[in-house]
Amino acid sequence: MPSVNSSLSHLKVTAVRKLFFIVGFFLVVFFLYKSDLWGAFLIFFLFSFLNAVFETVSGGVDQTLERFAYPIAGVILYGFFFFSGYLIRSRFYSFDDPLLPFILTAFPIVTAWITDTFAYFGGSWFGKHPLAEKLSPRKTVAGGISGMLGSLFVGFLAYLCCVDMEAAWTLILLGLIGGTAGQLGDLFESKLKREAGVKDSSHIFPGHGGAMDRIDSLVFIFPFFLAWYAVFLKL
Amino acid sequence: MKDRLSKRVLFAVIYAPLFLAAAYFGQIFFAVFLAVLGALAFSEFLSLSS
Repeated sequence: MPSVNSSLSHLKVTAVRKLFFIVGFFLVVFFLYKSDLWGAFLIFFLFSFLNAVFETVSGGVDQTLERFAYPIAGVILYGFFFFSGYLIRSRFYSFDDPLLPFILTAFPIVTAWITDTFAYFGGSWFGKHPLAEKLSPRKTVAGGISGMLGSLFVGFLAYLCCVDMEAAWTLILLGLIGGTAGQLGDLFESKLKREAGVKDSSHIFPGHGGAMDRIDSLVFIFPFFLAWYAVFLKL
Repeated sequence: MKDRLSKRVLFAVIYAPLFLAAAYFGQIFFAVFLAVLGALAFSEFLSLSS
């Protein structure tokens, strides 16, 4: 794998750091199990901070700021993903409709999948003009528009499921905007990988690449949906 | 190409219901599922620089 920046090459997940991650992982899950969201937040950011400090002091004396900032950037990306996804599932509880939390959680997930699928087939069948040639040469404008149509369709399905809710029609709009946000997340991750000179972030999932590739859209979609639910649906 | 597509479809058949089941069965299952995915993605993010 080509190096992006040789001074950051020590950022490797060693055995000690794996143990450190595992302890942090279980502590965060334990606090969430106890319904202590603030405790989970504090543990998460404490471990993330210690990890970044460890990265900074364990390397050389050059580019200290970059060595500190790189893990923090990762924590912001995937911390947002984790906590916003969890909050969507846990916050919107309804005694009248026990299925509502599941529907509100499944909506962003299905939006990401359907947008990807529609973009793939729309691009394969009608794609001619590249969308972002330098970042991702195989993505086309037709694929992007097909993806947005797919997300609009999912938004309409979500509206049908929640038709009794106040301002349920905004879910259709949310589907459309969420699909666009998902495609932006996809392009953002493509840019990260292109700079690193890799096609897939890893090969952990057969045919799909790595976990980064799987959740690239959701990293952008989850925080956006959480904010939308809170502001427009007053949930 | 075709092999990759069939692997994608096969994996999606396992991954998609698992994701939705985690969301269905409750917030703690979902939190564990997201935490595993997030931790894997974070370690891949770190390894992009090496």
